Amino acid sequence: MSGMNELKRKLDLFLMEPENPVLLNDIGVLLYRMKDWDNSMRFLKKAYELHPEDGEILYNYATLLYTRFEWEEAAKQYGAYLAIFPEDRKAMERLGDTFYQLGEYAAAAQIDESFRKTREGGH
Amino acid sequence: MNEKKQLSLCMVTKNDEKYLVDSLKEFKEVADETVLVDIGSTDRTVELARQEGAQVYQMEWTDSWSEAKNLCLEHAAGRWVLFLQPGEMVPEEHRGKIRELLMNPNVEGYLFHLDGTTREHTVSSPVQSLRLFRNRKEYRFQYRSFERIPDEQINALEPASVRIVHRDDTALFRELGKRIPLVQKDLEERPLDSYVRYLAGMELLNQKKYEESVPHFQAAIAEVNFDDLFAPHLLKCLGWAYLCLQKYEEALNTLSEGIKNFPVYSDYFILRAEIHKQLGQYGEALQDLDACLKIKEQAERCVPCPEIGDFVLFETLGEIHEQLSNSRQALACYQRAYELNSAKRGLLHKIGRLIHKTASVEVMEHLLKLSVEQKNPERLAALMEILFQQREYVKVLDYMEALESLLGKGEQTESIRLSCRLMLGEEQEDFSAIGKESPFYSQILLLQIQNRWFRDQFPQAEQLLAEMDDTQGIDEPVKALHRFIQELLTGKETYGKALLRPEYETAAELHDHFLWLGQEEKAKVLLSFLLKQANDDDFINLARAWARGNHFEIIEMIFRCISDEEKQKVFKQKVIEQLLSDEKTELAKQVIQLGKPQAIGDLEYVLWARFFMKNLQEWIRKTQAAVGGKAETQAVPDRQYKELLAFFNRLHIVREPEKDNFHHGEWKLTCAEIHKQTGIYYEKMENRTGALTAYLRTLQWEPLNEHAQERISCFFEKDPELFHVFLVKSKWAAEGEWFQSKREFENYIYGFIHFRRQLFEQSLSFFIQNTEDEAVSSVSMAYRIAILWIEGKRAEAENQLNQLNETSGLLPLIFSICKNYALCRLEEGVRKYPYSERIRSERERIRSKSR
Repeated sequence: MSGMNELKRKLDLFLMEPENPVLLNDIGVLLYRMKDWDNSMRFLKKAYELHPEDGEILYNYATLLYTRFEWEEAAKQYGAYLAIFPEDRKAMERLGDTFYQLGEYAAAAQIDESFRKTREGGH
Repeated sequence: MNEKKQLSLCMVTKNDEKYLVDSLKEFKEVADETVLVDIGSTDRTVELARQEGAQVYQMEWTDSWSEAKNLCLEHAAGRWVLFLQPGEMVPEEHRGKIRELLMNPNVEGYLFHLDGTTREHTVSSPVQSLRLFRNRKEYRFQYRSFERIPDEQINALEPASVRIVHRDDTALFRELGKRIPLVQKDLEERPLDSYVRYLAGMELLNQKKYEESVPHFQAAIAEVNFDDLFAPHLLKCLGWAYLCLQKYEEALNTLSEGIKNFPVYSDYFILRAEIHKQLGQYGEALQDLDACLKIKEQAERCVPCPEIGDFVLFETLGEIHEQLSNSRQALACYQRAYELNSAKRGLLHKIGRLIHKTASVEVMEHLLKLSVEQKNPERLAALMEILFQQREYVKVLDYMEALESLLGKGEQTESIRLSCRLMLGEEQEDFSAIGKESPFYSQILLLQIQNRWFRDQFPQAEQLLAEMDDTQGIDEPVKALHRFIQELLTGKETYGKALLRPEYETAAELHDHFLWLGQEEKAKVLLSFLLKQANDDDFINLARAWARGNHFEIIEMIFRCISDEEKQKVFKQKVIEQLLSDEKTELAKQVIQLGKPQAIGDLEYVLWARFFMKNLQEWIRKTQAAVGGKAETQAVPDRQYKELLAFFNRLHIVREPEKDNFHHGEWKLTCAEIHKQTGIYYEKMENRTGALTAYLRTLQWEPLNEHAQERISCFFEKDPELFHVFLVKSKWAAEGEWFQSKREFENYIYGFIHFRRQLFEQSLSFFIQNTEDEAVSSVSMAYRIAILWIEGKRAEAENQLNQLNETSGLLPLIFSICKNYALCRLEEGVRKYPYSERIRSERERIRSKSR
């Protein structure tokens, strides 16, 4: 199924379930792939507001923020995501890059260390 | 148990007693049996073969090599058969490899490297290189002249690194003499057969009958199966025939067709490069040779093996670089070619010429030392001859002892020593080592005359001229020339005299030598005479000799002798090239203004840059001897540096230990360098936003960093809108001391981006915004003044400088900005002339300039 058809189908579902975070997330991702940043932001932000502990939503939202150069917010969301999934290397790299963007070199340098502690604390 | 024989050596003989015994003895250890079919020997061939244990079968010759060889196959009992002729030889080190080849279960036959060409017979078919194959009853030869097992019957062939050479040239001539006449018979019997037409075309090609060869090749191509072993070679032959006929378009189409069907047959690329070279399409030629080099690097082996040796590839590459005036690259290529084939003396002369041109003394020194170490007197003498031609007489004298140790002391070495001293203009009295009967006497006598001219001893020269007149070994025109020059130099000769080419060259050499000795008046006397005899190339050479001094009026006079505009352009290019290498920028500028304005290619960029930098340096020096700039002396807060370094280390950027900033295991990087390396790393990781930020931060520490500026400009050009959004949203991290606010920094970024695009007005508008602020960024002010200077508004630039209280830090910045501008212009030149070594060298030269 093409991206556009898929999006139409999901938007039809959205009319029936406007508060479904999974659906909002899916639509946000489809729009992201189409580089429709503003609308993608609208859906992913709403998905996040409805379900802020959902790892997938958190990651997608953070990635969109990163892509749109919203560094401070992106750092916050990657941080929240990593608190749930402290082993995710990709997210950790992204957070490091985000800290670099913010000029927070100490935080960027210590990411591995801080999430190691989170992992150990979790066990 | 009777074990089956592994290898049968098969031979077809006729009156081969000269080589037969050697040949059979050499293969005693390799082959399990020898099967020999004799086709009518009248000498002792059969008897000797039997004595050596061969099975001999005699047959009546039926004008067919296939029949004779198939009879061998009928009687061969080995699992494998190896076909050789008595006149052929496999060197011992290659013979040892043959048994090993029989062990490969996946191969049906091997192609050996056959050295089957002579000066007269330059093309041979790869079909003839199939010499070792499995003994199966379906593998039988066809055709009379150059027998072949059809490809439908045999496949899974592999090239083997076994070489077959002929014991002497007569053996090969005999072999070819037996075969070539049979091509006509094959043609009569099979007029439509693609292999036969290919053979017929190839023989015509060998006879240099290119026009006649083409229809045969075309007919062969129309019928050929591209899986046939000879198919790649067939296309190459047609391309080669077209090339020789200078039908370049047809040749290019044929070779391109070949490349499409046989992409790893590298000969096509070399031939196509040769065509491009002849057409002056050097870029395309380089691309083809580059493709050829890549093919050769690959492990995949081509069947059949291409024929053109690597030394040809490197020599062609060198010739193209030489045409492009890329002297250093040309030199490296010729050196490589010479390493691969040191028998080619011509290469040594090419190397010598470029060593002289590029002043690569170390290369010559290396070759000389190598010749001494390897005890190679021929090469040493050749190198010394090159040095002599280049007037490196002192160097020649330095190596005389070494030459004598290899050749022995004698007339030859003594004549070299005397020649050098005479050419140096030294007084020499003792010529006793070279008697009148010596072959070197004439040459030394002529040099003695010239030596007297160098020393203004005309009466003594007259005496020697009389001696010359009595000498038999000197040609009359040479004698006449020397007499004539004596009269010219003594003011007696007033009318012109027609010279033959060798005499012109002698006179021109003498003219150059007078200039080399600083005897300009004598050179002038000869020049007026030479100009009447010179061709366009001569005019260039004469002007280049005068270009070594500051003699614009003479260069101009020579230029006026050329009427053709294209030749005038070449004249300017060659003379300017010489002047630039001698650092005579002013003179080069005068030369470019001779005649009509003409584009002189990549040299224009070099000349512009040379002038621009010269003027800039003079202006800076005149304006004020500046003290050190700001960029390198900024104090960096220790904590901030440590954090940045810790982050950088986390990125795991692997650096080469030999780099300057890596000492004893500790990072010695500046903040600017850390950000720059981070940018490079992020670009490698395709993290564009990370890279852009890193480059921006680099500029906060080092606003004129060339790499960062270049990369940021690229990001801007790719998507100016996105760049703007990014810049607006980027977090301002206060780093470095140059910029106090984000707005100031943004103005600076747009200012330099427009500056690099040479949009000076827009650039100025951004820098003015900065300098209107209270906190004036000195680098923005430096840009403002630099723009004025570049636009030629020097007085205004000086005026602005004078209005400022503190200028000592500004001048180095202005210098760097202008220098970066020159580099940008040269970058533009590199894009326009991508293969120009001169522009690249000029760029490096400017980069290394401090002030």
